[in-house]
Amino acid sequence: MTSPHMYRYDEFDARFVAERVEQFRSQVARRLSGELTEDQFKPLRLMNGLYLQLHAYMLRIAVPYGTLSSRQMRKLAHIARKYDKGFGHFTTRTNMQFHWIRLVDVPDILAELASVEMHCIQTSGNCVRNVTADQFAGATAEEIEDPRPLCEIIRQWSSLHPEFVFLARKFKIAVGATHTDRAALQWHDMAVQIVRNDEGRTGYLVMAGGGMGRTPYVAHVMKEFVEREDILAYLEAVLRVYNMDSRRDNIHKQRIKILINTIGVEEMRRRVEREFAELKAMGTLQLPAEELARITAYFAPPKFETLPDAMPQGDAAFENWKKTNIHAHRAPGHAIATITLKAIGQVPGDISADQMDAIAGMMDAFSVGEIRVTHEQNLVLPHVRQKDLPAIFARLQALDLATPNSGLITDIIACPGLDYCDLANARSIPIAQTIAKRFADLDRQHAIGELKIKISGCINACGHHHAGHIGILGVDKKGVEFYQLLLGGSGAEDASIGQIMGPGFGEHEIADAVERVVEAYLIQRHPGERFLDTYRRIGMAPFKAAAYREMEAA
Amino acid sequence: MLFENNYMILMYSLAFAPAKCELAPMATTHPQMLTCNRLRDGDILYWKDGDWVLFQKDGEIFTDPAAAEIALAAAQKDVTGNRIVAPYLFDVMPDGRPVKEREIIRAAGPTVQRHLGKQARQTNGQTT
Amino acid sequence: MTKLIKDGAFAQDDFALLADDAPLPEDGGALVSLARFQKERDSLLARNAPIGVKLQASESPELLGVDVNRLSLIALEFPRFRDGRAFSWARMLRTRLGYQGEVRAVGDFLYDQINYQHRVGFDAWSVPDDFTIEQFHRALQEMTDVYQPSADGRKTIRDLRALR
Repeated sequence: MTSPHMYRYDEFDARFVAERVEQFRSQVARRLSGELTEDQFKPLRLMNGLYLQLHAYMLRIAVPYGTLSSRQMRKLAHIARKYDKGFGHFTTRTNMQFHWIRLVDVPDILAELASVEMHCIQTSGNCVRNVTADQFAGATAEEIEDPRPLCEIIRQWSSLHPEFVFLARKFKIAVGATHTDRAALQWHDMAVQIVRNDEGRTGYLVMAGGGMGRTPYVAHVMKEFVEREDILAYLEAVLRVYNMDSRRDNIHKQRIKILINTIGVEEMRRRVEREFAELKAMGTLQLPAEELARITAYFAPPKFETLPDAMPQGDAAFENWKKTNIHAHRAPGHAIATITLKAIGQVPGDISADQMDAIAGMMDAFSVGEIRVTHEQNLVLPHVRQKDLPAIFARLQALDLATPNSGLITDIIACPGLDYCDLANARSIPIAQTIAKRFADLDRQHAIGELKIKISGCINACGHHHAGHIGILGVDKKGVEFYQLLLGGSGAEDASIGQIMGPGFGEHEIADAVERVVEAYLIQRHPGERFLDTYRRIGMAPFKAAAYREMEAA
Repeated sequence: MLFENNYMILMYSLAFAPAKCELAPMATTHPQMLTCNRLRDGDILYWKDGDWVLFQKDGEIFTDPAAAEIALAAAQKDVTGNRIVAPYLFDVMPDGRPVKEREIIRAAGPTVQRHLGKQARQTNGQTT
Repeated sequence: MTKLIKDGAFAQDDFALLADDAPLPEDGGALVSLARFQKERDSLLARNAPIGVKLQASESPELLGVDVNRLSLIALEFPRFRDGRAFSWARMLRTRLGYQGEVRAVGDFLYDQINYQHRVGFDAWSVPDDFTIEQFHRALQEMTDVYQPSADGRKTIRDLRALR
């Protein structure tokens, strides 16, 4: 068993989560006795990640910056078996969800989670949510530095922040440190990009006002360069302006993206600067270099074995898997291995308890006891040796977890949708399954290349459909499930909002429509163009004509 | 009674030929059922004769909207009694099948995992 | 009906909450709306009795201008417990504006918010009649430590770690 290179609770962190568990235990008791009405209890349970859904309660467990230890993975497997139906679901915010939870079990579940340094604090509710980061953090040569120490600092600072637990709406933060954006920074309420200025000093670019939903927006730059020691003061300044100045009269207009677009970026910057100047003068939020170093030390990378770069060869299946699921590691002789939870015809993002336990064993055997969750509902073994890849692949095959489709058209993101979610208008999972089966042929998938399909069952956009190269939004049209197509969205550093194509398609038409759109791309593309590139070059019209062509003929 | 009133209105308007009179078509109301979540475990329940049952097929169908409203009001005692949350009426076809997809799924379970949810449970008179 | 908790104990409320058109009492504290304070500022301040202003959730304490420290009481309204603007107003009063009078939480708030209110600078609470003082103190004790600084100046977990 190896010890993971991640944050470890000290006695303060441990007591904090333990007391939070007891606090919620007391809140549940007060709810069951009627001392708390449902209306009063709802924000309290939401701030512990507990939703009332279509079949039961759903519990959302925080996976801070997508990092899990094998011990934690085993605990999730245990919870899946003991308290749920033997499986869990990874979300687009790298959290874990269980869909068949009983309210009366939640205090015990939280106690079990606390025993492995996990919690559900602020995974829902109008507060600062889980802070997310690049799944390749600490493993890629691309990064200026590992973004996760800052994530951990932000996590602690925002945990039960007394001023910001009753915000106007949810507030999502992400941190990046590479040019390639694997964490969809520009779609967040606030994001920090670790940068180096002209003097070679490392600092932070802060952006704000991204968000999905009814009115999608891409974030604006708030400040190009914030000094390291000032970052918490700046983030707090943004949150303070948001808390004070956001509307509270219309739930659809209460995200920070609406505030910034109402008053304008310049005015927002001005208001933030005022709060920021005050906080800097007070000095209480200063982040000393020693503290940053102390937290950073938890994430110190493992001592990588000195190995030559020598990628093993194997049979066709292994070679196919390598093509898409293996990425370069900063240490020679090593690799980053992606495990997609997107087996053809399976529920995207779902994982069984048995798979979780098996993966925990693989984490210990091959990846220093560590795994990452991606915002595209996949897993990543961050530090594997190239020579172990054949053994890793073989074990994944036995678990039905070796689908060689990372980044391909069948690597679909889908929210739970109307099959599970109380908020949904339409089902999303069967659409994902149908499309995946339609495009199952691997040669065809490679011919198509990178194409991110993202499916949401309602406008809340948990499936990130606005950021899909092809986005699909389920709507309710007079009691019938209909699906709108959007094209040209992106969650990467070239962030863009998907464009709605036109009238929606029925449940049995949408896969055909997607297929016609893809065919139009294949006909129109120039060499080297991904779907997204072709769309950006030729626009919506050719795809729209293709998608609706057969509809008109029918 | 409703139909006779509409007939009289029609005859009246024709007789006096006032400015164009638009009659709303007589509304077709679906039968309804009453549902909620059980507080302690979130399980879906259906109203039947003053109490709650687990399976939608065993629930009471209200053809009279007034009776449905009476049941909804009566259900409030279980809200204040902290037994259930969020009771509401939903439309069904005369044979009891829910009109909306959402209620079909809520009654049966996820369409993508037919081995989970009520669709997979024993249905031998199981009550709460 | 409500009762007042101040400085950790039940207390007599020396302020009368006045409608905008209600006559001022002869003596005793008068708690008025911001609109009324702005309209009748001079006469209100000229009274030989304490004056307080009740701010709505949308009203920043900065609207009180230079008069803020002449007020004995500032009541911050929670119109719905979900509306958390008053947390920022209280914090602003204690830090930027250096206000040292009573900051009172009024309106719809939960037991579970009292600890947060306490941290950001509230020192008085208008609570329902059946609320007990034991409940109040329990609310403040549920979490031993805090991660972030606030208006209460409390040592954070980072401070405590450094003291080890």
